[in-house]
Amino acid sequence: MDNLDRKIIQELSEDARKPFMAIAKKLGTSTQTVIRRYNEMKANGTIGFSSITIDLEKIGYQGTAHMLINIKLEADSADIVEQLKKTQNVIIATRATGSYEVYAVTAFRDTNDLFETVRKIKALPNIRKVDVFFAVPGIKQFPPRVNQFCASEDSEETKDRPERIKVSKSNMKQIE
Amino acid sequence: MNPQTKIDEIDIKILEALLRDARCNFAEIAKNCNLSITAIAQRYKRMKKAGVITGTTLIANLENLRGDGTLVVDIIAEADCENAIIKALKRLPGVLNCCSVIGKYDIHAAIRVSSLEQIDNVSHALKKVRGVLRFELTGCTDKLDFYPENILKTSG
Repeated sequence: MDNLDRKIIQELSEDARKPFMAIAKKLGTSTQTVIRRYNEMKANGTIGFSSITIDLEKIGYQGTAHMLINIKLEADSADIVEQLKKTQNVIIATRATGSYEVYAVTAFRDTNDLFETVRKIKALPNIRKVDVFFAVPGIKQFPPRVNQFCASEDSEETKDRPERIKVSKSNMKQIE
Repeated sequence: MNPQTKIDEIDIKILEALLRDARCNFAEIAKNCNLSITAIAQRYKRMKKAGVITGTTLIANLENLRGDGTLVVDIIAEADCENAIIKALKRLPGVLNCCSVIGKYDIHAAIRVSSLEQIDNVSHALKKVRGVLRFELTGCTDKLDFYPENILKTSG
């Protein structure tokens, strides 16, 4: 992976549907090169996932709720994730390690809808406890956008950052 | 509440295809729906204008963020520091979402991580943010999958 690849990803992170021609023009290379690099990166998994983001409110959802789930000792969290995947309103589900075994996110149309979803999840076999957190206003855009790169030093937000938070910058450097 | 935008079966097909791949071919969708490419493009534009489609997202496996790990962070915070904490968290690389929640915790975030070192870094960074009283880290081992089909099915 070289600098050009990285720049292509940066462009695509801003707009995943940006025409390859526009990217090529901006980076001073040929459209063919950009297309070739894109296909290569997609094939080798460097570009893992690209998607549009949708406004959940606009398609009738009031908000999202996060669920941290404890399962029965003898149960397999992978089975539960499989079942959650097929549950209406569940938009994210994954196995977890820590105080909880499964993590899920659901969207809901109204409180009844949320109640129904939680009830459905609790009715799944081998669920022990479901901790529900309402996100307000929640994930309005779905799927979430990712901050791929460390924010640059000169960005607007950096200016008014309190001193204490700045310390964490060194940690971010290490991640880089 | 915003008025709900009218979305029909074909719109849902377009959304599904775009959610799977932001660069998907309109020609293919057109073929599946028995419509012209122009008709699909028009619907896409309409949904974008209506604010149903808000933008795009891309998850890349760069050197610093490789693999499938996600760290779920739940924070108990001092009431007047919530916004500042969210702002600080959003600056960490790999943050998927970060928002205020109602419940046992005050702030919830999901961060992409690929090594124990990065988890450690997140934890160190959190300890330095003013107003964070307590936090809990939950590591998610699966590839973070999204299931938009579970919410698109009944809309319209």
